[in-house]
Amino acid sequence: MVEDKNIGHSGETPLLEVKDFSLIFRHYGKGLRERDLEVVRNFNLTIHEGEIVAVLGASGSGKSLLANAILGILPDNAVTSGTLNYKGAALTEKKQALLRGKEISLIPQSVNALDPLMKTGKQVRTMIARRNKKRVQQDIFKKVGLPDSAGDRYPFELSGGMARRVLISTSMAGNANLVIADEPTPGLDPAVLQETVGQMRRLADAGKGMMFITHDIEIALQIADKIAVFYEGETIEIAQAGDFSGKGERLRHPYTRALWRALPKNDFISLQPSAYSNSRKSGKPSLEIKGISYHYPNSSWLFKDLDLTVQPGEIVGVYGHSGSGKSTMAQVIAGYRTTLGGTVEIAGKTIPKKGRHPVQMVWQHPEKAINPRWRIKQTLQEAGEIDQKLLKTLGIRQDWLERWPSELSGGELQRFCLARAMTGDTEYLVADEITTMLDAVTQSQIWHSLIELADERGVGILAISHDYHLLERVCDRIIHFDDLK
Amino acid sequence: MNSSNMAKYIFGKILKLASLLAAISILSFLLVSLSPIDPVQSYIGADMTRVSPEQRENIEAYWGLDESPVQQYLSWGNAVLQGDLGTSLLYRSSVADVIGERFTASLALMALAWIISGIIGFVLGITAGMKEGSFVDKLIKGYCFTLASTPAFWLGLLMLMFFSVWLGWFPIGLGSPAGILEADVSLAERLRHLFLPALTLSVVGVANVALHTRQKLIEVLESEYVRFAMAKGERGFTLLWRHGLRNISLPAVSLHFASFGELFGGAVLAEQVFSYPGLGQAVVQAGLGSDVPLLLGIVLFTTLFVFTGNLLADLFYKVIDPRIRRGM
Amino acid sequence: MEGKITHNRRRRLHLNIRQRTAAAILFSSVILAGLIISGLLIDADAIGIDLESKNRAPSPDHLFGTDWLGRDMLMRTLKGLTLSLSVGVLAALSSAIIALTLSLLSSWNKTMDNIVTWMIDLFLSVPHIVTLILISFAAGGGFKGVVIGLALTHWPSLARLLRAEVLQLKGAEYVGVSERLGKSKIWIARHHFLPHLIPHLVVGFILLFPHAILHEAAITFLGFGLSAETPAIGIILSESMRYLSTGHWWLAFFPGFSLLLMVIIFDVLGRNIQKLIDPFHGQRI
Repeated sequence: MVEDKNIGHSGETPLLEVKDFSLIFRHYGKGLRERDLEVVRNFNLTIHEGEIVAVLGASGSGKSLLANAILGILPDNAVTSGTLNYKGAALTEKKQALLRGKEISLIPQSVNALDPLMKTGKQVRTMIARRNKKRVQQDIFKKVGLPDSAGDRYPFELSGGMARRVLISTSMAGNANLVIADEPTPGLDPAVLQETVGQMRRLADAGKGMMFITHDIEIALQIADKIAVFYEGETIEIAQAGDFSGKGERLRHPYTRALWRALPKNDFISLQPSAYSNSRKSGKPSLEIKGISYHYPNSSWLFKDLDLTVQPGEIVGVYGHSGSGKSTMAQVIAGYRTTLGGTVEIAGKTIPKKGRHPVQMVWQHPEKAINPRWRIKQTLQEAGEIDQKLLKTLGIRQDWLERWPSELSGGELQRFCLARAMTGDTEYLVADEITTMLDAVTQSQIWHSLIELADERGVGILAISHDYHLLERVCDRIIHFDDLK
Repeated sequence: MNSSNMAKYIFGKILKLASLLAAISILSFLLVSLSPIDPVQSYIGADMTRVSPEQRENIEAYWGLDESPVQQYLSWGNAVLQGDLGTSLLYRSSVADVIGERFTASLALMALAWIISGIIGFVLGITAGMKEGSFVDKLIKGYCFTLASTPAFWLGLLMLMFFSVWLGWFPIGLGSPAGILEADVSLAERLRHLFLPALTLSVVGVANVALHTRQKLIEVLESEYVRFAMAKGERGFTLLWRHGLRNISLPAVSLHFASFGELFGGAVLAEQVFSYPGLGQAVVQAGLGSDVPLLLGIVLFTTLFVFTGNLLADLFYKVIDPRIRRGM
Repeated sequence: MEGKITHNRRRRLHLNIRQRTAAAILFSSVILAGLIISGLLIDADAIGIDLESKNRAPSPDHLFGTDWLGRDMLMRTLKGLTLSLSVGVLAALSSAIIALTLSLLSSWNKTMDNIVTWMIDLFLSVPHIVTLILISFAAGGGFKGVVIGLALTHWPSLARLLRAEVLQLKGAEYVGVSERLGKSKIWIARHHFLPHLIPHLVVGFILLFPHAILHEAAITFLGFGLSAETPAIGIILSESMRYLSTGHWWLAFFPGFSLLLMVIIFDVLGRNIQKLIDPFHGQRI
């Protein structure tokens, strides 16, 4: 049982109160038996007016379902139990239907939440009850920094960042008391992110309550007053944002503390990379990227005449915002795309197109990079014989080998992707946002093993990320992608 | 769509049609020339014994049968390019005329069935999709699956037995009553002959549209934007009207246009059962009676017909869907 | 004030969906097997001419009645269904093989894919029935013409489906990784594509049956397929046309209805196997 440490609001009726809430999905396992999958259990949370409460948990942990449960729009095979109170009264199915969009509004996670065949202005206007709908909508667009013309566009004509701002606009149009924001920030560049955080803060200061669902502890700390830590379906701790300081002495649960300490800006890894100087002496050849260029058909150059050198055993960070083209660069270097000029060379020789590529790449989403129809062992064997020492370094347990990919977590799958990429005579590794989707603790463990591997095997690593703190922690040197292109 | 893209699109479509027609004509000509059926014999029929070898040779020379298949194809293809599809052996008039006349009759039948089945199918699909899993849904789904498994000609036979033989409401066959000149047949009389084949064809056509519409609506109702619309407080008929219909009508109408091939297939069978003098009946007779010029002509014509349907389906998307309209 | 709510959306069912699916598969397989066995056991005597009992309406002796030659319609129907089944097997099997081969070929490169797509478009550009008439005519009628015709007209829809799957797989990250690990195209086709395509192929194969059987009956009905002596459903129905006005309704009703039932059973079989194999559909309530 978690106790809410909020003292300031103890007298008022909270806007939203969730007590011992649990959610079960009925689904089919192997064979013909039905199974119940418990996604959320014993979830507890209170939100008062003027307060932003962050729900912090790993991606895929079922946080988004909480939002749907509060709004009463869960799919049919969900079974819920526990208490949901809004302004002190029970939130029944009937009441949810009445309050949805009027008193409780949602900022959804995905830009797919916009109707593809309706102009965005109209989609926002359906939320406005007052007269002069068009005026009101245009005012809101101005507030979130959207041009007037955006209202006459269809969602596909807007960039990801603009579409997100349209989603935020809908929640402002409704004049709701409680706003549930479901991961509204990924993919926003820092300036827009600051803007968005500011918008939300203003909404809260105007007396609204907000539930902010995220996997990113740093954003949670930036925006929220209180943070509910969600781990394996449970709230393990509800802490004030201010408790996240120093070495985390004021945090009570060991996991929360580990999460805080594992942040790149805190302890992260005590081991400092020093392998670089040793390995270079071993006389291994370096990876030389000379003047590569790329653009997609019918669009402008993503990068042109890009030069980059990675030494064996060296970890080089490439920092840039999402959508800047750094992933495309990674794919060109690892041979997934053909460069439109220039070469990628090892020991002065262009890497041949056919055969095993000496530069292997690991992707952001491990579940997409693994064949779901194979046992995980088979995935490893695709790269060659299983290297037990490698598995040990990466923290892969023997009993995982016999499992199906769907039975492993994202962090576990990513370890397998790394193991596959490192098996055999891989000389360089391109790591494209490999820990972005993982929680801080797993992130720290994975980078720990990678630094060890780079040191041991003299493998050079090109680490690509939007997280500067992370790169600072793990890399020998950092290059800004904008300087490169 | 700007004009240069438009030109590119039209040019692409014309090229595609030309390549299809060329390939179809070569393939079908090849198939026809492979046939073991002797065209002269099937033309003359029982009188074959009375035809002397010289007369036979004359006929063969007249039809060009003494030339090599390649030469035959080239001279036929050349004539087709000049608009001459040859002369039908069965009807003893130009193939183009036969097709024109027969197709008009078929068109009335197919258009009627196409519109009726489209409307009923769409409504049934929406009803089922809105109430997925309910009794109504199961009823409609079961009905559609049964229809999809029903031999169209058997359904026609049953209708004929029930309405024409048993109740005597409709004539047993022929597009117009026998013994009356084509021009003298009244509209009511024509409709009476059109009714049963059109009914059969519509009943069969409903299943496809209904099932597709249902599936699409279920997908749309589960989409993130409908979930979000629900979160915004929209529900019931408003939700269906604003987000449902907008997103399902496009694929449904498009699918219906793209089903001209099946529509014609159904018409062939319906016309045969009800002795309706349309193009479908003509193709059966051409096949049975070895009327090669007519058979080839109809093959080319139906290719054009199906292509038109697909083109309309494509154009419909291009004109209506903003993602394609503005994206181009 | 506080309220305790439990939203229980569980439905009370004796069998869950998976179990019902498995039961449906078992049931339809048994019926189809029974049909094949009974069809094989019927010898020529059972459908022989018996002029003493001609034109009989359905009775306990002759459940489906008899025709103008006194042949038992039930026996003729069963024999006809078995025949339809064997035509269906041949046609669906060859269609499935053509579709699989072409879809794998289309994964080779862009040019190959264009050729395959063009071929699919080509075969879909003439109505099936017209193609069937043309091919039957070319083969001079008979069993061979029907099977060739059905095989050549039914592969495109399945090939289109499989090609879409291959295309999607080709873009998958794990296939890209496999290429970068130096695996050959053939290795990838065999280890990544084929295992993924097999379930689709099995379902596609079974769902082709109903179509093939219906088209077989249709083309035979039109007079192109099997010779007039064969007890095929299409022939039985086309003969029945001559006796419609005399009120011999059973000649058309029962054979057609039996065909309808068989097609439905195949459809049920295919759809349920699809539910079991395709995890996405299997999860649906």
